[in-house]
Amino acid sequence: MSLLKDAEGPGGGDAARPGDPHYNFAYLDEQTKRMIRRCLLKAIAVPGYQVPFGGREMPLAYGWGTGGMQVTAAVIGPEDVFKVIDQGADDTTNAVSIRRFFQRVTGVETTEKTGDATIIQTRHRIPETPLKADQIIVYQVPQPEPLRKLEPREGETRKLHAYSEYGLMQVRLYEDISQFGHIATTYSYPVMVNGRYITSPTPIPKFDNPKMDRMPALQLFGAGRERRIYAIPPYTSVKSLDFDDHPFEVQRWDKPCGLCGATDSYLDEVITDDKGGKMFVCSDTHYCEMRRAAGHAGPAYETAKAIDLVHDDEGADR
Amino acid sequence: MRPLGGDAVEGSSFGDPVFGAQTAFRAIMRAMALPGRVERLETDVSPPKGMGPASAAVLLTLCDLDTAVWFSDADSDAARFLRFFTDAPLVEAPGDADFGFVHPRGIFPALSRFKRGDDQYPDRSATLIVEVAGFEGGSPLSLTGPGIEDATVISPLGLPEDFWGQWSENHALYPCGVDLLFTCDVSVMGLPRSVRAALGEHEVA
Repeated sequence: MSLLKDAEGPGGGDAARPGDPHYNFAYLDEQTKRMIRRCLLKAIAVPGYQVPFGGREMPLAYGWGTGGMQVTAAVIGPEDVFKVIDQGADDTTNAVSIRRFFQRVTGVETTEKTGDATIIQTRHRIPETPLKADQIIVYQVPQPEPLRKLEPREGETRKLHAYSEYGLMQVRLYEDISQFGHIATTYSYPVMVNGRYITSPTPIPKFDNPKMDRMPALQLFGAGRERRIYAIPPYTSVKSLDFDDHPFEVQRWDKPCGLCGATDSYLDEVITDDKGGKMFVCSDTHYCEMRRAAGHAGPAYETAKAIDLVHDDEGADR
Repeated sequence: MRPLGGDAVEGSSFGDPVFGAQTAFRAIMRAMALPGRVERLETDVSPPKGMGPASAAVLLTLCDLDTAVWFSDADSDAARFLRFFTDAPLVEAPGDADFGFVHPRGIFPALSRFKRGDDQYPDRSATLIVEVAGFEGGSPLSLTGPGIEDATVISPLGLPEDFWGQWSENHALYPCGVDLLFTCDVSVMGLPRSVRAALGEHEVA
């Protein structure tokens, strides 16, 4: 047993058996992992199809990523480097607690750097830095069934998928056009995977949809409460639904990121004072930090520094 | 079902069941996600007679008391090995199996005899572990589909002559159909039902 590693915190453990010795490696028992692994293989063989699985209780409330955690627990190994993001940020509550959980039960190395991670668990964003082959992205899925709001009965939606009966979804998008003049859906924008299944991309902004198409990384999806797993293998076609005269479009902003000046990333609105002041900043915190470290600065950078919104000097090594 | 105990079982399972299975699974998952690519399985499993290390590692990783397994020879050392280490029930009819193990010298039933899932539950289909004589040297096939960037050429050796005809039929049933894992020695190659195979190196259908 290495005392040095133990001193680093609960993620230590000895070299032969990493992680908290009170739990099996990665929390789940081996039989559960086997069940999830079998489901993952079937999910990969039928891209976009939702495989039912025996979802387990996790030490976290439903809706906080229990599905994603179970998928991660079934694939993660001691050699992995793990990153967790919540709405693009590494430092929000959900991301911090899931990262600490896996640090504790596996002892794996964690990172905020997208490029260094082998497994990225995400809630509602895809990192701006393009993912590479051999990386795995695990999505936390609140509602795996894209047709659920249109048809509440599971037996019926299952038939609609079985017969590729997807007219309902086109009607939903058309209703947007008839009411607003454009497709007003901005997140959970439905996609067609491998030309066969309409699939929920999870509540990522539609800005991220194009990144899913022919992505070199393996995409795994876990829905804990709904007990579904699905997958999109690398280089698989993922098309956002649209119409010939109303093609799919992503969000655009008039201004660049206030902190790093990026014009190609997804921006969040941040309130800066109680007098109506606000700015737009990258939702992907690592991407923003990386750009600032490389010398880019946005129009609000100096102000943000002055009011303590960014601490770039401390985290200079990012 | 056959009783445990009695004759000693040949071979041994993972030295460390947790990490052995995890490492093997990642290779199997990569193989399934990137069809046609040969993935090396780093494993310390020592298989019994009539089974390669990769096949043994795949079965030990995925099978347990919840999975019915079909063996071309149910009275073999390989079948006894799996029973002993996983408790998986053995079945006589291919149609009852969740996993099938096909040895190069064993019987290879028609793919259509295995479970292919149904329209509403295509996941309820069999996964076959097929040991081939080699990943090179057979007639070249061009694969296209999810997990393959453009097209990839494979030439597994030792498959039945009508195999690729059966495979087109299997692929035509998509999203239903069986999934295959070819194994040879310590390596594995995935062939999920989503993959289309065309004869000849240049023809991409």
